[in-house]
Amino acid sequence: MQVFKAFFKLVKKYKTGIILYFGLCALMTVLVASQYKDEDKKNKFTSESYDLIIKDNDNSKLSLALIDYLKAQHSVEFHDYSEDELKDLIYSEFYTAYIEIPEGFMEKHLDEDALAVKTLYDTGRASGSFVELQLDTFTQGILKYENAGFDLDDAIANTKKAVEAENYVEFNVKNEDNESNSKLYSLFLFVPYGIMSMVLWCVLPVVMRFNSKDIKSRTAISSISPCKRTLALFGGSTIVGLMVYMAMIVLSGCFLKEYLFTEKWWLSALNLFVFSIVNGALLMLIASFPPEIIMKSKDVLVNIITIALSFLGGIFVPLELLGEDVRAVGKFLPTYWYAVGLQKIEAGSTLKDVSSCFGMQAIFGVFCLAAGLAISRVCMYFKES
Amino acid sequence: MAQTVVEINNLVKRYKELVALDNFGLKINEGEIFGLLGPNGSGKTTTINCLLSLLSYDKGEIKLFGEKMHPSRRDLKSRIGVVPQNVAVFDELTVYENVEYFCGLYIKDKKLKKKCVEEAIEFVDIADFKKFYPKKLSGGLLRRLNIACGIAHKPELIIFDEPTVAVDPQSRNRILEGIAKLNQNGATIIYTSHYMEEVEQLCNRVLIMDKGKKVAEGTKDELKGMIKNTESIVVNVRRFSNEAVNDIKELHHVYDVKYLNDTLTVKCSGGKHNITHVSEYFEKNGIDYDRIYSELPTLNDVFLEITGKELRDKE
Repeated sequence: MQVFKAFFKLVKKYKTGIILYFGLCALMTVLVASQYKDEDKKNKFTSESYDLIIKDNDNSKLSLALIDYLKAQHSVEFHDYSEDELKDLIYSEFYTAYIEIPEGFMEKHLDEDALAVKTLYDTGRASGSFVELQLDTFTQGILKYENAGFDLDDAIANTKKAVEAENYVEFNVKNEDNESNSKLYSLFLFVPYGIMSMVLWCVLPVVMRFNSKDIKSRTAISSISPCKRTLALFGGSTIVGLMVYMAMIVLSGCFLKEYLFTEKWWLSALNLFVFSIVNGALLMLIASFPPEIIMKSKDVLVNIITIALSFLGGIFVPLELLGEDVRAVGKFLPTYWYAVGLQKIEAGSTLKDVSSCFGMQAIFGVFCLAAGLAISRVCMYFKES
Repeated sequence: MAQTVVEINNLVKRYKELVALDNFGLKINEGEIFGLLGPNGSGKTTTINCLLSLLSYDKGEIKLFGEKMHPSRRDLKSRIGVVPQNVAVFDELTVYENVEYFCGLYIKDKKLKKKCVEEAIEFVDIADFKKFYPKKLSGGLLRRLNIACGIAHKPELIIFDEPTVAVDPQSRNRILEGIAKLNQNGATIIYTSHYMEEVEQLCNRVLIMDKGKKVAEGTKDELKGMIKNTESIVVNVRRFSNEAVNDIKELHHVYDVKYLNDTLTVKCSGGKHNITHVSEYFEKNGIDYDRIYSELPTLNDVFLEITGKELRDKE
């Protein structure tokens, strides 16, 4: 606990660096988000909702299913107007259409000629035709499922699923600026660079301070075991990494309101979480080298590591633009698998599909910890001999 | 009988072909200030590191407080305090925070820790600098901070590894007084240094080591009794002939005479009134001299005679 507490006291001294990098990340986020400000207007498809009057004379399972389907998209009211009143209301655009479900609708629905839902709308407007089209789609769907051998309940359920699926259609409008990637993808893509920079610039010197020969020896002769000390340092580094992660999630969340708590957002956040942990392991690997070597070349080293990992892993340059050889190298890096994971999430993959990318990142993390341990042992061996 | 605090038997430590410690052994009793002397590379630091389990060793046995020392013996380690040669503190923490950190490695209880930290800071007299960062402290204050970090948890055995290197005389005296006070309070001290005068002033018992071996061990007087030289007579005299040097050599109890830079050094072994015999020779032969005085052997003489080399590089 003592090492842990002192770790955070030392990290506080480097808070200016963290704030500076966080500011840079915030700037990048604003810049990226600003490119997407018209995204909603350009790409988003929202189906129109109309005001309908329905009269259900059948009050059957089928008629209720049809009403449910219409209710899901339109505003539905139940009134008993005369035909003239209805015509007036539709003409004056209070309502889009009147739908009357005849008695015996369910009983006779298999007889194609008898299946008639009475509709009344202004033929001069497309909206009424659109509603009639929806009615036809639903009733035809039920007929097709029943003809395929499903009973009425299954036919209703399957038709509902089928008509709802229409709403998932996405418009992949080619945009020269943003290709086809969403704001979520673009905002999450560069975050690992920010996390790596913040953690390596600001936490590495602290860990190296604890690892300096004199301080390490002084701690080693105390009643704290080396294992506890290492765990405290790893825990501290990871917590700082996670704090940075949380800050980045909140920051990106401010610009991703429409995506918040969607499956894509959760998966992207999880992907970044895995990367943050792996970054902690990477830090421990670097810190296992002799401090006198690392501290002399810290600035150069951190730059090389963060920039190289970002370039080779497809953070700065899209993966598609990287050559085969570069991609082959990138496959050994966590940033590559982070970017691949993000691409999969963007394409609508599930947790199961993306878990392989998380796994590859985790393997890199385990490798870092194992290599760090081995390097520490080798250094100790040389020191002793 | 005083308890044996440190016991090292037949310790062997090799760095490939180099034997750093060659069947080395020592015993330190409770309440002693034990001086560990030796030139650079003699094995002092290796001994201390083995003692603290910072280094593994090839052969031998180390016992602390009557129990075998091992890297996992946290209970034994908690009874030891170390003041390393290099100032090992965090530049990013204040004086108070540094002492609190190192004290906290041993003491968990918050109240007790606070009390110990305050006392340690008071003890080394740096209370006025509590909120200072180490970079703002002078060399002497830094050394005192280094000491405070090592003694805050009130250890029973304190190892001082050359604590006065690069320290001004005033700070050096304060440090030495502090060490003596710690000893009076009951702590056993191991003190390694290049500075003979410090060791002479401070230590009850001294061990001289060279090339990983114990060369001599005993109290200051015992060590001085081991060598031929019992007295050196120094005469500042101009133009002293070789014949006169030979005459002086013939005097009783004189075994070595050197004349260099108008200074005649006459080394005697045993005997009384040696200075009278030398001054009588000068008067008898009508040789004028500026000053004549007698020096008792120092630990440096002991070391020089036993090992044939200076303990410390000439400054």
